[in-house]
Amino acid sequence: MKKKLLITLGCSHTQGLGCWDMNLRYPVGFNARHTNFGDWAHVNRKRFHELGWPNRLGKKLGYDKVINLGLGGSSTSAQLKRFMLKYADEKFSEYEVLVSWLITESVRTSFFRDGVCESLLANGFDEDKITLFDSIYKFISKNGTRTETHTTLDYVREEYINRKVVKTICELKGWNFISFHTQTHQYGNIIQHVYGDDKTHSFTDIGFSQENDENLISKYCGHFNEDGYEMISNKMVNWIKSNHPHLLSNSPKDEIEWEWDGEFSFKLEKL
Amino acid sequence: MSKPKLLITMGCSFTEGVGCWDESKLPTGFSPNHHRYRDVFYLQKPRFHELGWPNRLGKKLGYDKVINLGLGGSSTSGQVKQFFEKYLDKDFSEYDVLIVWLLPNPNRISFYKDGKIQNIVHDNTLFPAYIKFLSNSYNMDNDFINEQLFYRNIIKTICKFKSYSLVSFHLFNKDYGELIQEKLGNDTSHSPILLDDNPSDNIQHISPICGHWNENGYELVSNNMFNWINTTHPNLIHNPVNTIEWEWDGYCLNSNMN
Repeated sequence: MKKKLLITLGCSHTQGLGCWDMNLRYPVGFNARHTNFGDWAHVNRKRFHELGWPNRLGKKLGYDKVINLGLGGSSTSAQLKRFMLKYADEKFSEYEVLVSWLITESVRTSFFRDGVCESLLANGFDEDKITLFDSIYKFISKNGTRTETHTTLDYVREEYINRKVVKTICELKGWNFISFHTQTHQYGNIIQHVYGDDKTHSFTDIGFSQENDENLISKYCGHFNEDGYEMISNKMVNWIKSNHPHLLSNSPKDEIEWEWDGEFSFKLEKL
Repeated sequence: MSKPKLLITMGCSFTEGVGCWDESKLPTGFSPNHHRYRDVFYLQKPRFHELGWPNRLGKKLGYDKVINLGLGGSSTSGQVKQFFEKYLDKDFSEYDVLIVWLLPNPNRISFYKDGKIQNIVHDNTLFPAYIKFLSNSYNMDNDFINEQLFYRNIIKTICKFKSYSLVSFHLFNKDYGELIQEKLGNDTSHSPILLDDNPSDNIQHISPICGHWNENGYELVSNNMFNWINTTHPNLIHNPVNTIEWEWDGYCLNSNMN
């Protein structure tokens, strides 16, 4: 019987941002806008990667190894690029592979700049990125004259193609594929309209509607804390049990081999 | 018994066959500024589709059928989206499939709008923001090509798993070809050749109306493609045929994806 490998894709929620070490002494009023936020995040980085939903899910599924490609601030297309560049040619022939993708906000996109894959978000410090993000929004929304629903529909279509690439490559390689969405509670009806009755996607909210529950959210960055990621991984497992029970191994594990391979901005090494 | 051979072609207007005008049917003084340009263009589309390089190459290769997905103004990413929407799930198991992709201008991008794939070319209002985003880049061409080759790699990967053959060519100059080649390394599925490298004869190969290749140009291009395939991938060559079944399917779907 082959060993089982879980590969996870997603944004900061997959990277595990929010699992801060509460034994450290953070500056007074510390939050995501603090000047030294990046430095503190770096100190906690390994903890984020260890305690987020990917390793929790891997253990609950009884898997042998987790490779987490989650990267904070990344777009669906950037996540696809990373997967294509680093994993599309991997065989992992000693493993049964499951790819689990927690899909991020649909409005994000990405382009290569100076050989680096750059994600475009609604906020940030790079004016050229924000200008391009806004220009794309204006183009798709026809300068804001289309309804939010119709505009979102087109962004989700873009996301769906990106997802379809990964799903197709997984199918062709004999890997299992499932996906979840961070925005189901916001526009799940639009996602369902585009995705149709795709059984590999969970159309139920896996906890993101509870982003205001202070017991589940880090006060420093607004991401889930350890309890929040525990809740998410439980909801993922329950959905898998109900819909894809063959993906469960016999018994959950207490320990799991894992690595994070998200890198902040990856240079193009091969095509 | 060997399977029938299917050639699927992907690309922009140079794959759609734009430029093969029937000059006997053009209004006097016809040019892109003519008030009937769009109408005449659409009337002549079937001729473009019949006389461009895809059918010429299909005949020279000895194939049974050509499906031409070439669409004027389309981008590399738009062509991949179109392929995924319309052809990814088609069952071509009765055929040996070869995809020949003439890569378009790499600076084009695409997004969904109104449910359709909208390609962004240099005259679109979004284009300057894309250029501004790349303006501090060390080498903008490099970024365009990275984006293009990422999408090419998606099709290449799909072809590998579906046991389709793939070869690609590019438009434009030698420097551009060398940049692609440098990135692709020893990937022999892309041709480094310049398809219309015959500058002294250019006027015979280019339509004075739109600047695309004319029938002579597409014949030259298909010969150059054939010669490169013959040298590099002789397994893809069969006995040439005089007629070929073909269809053009470059229209984008107005799609919900399902």
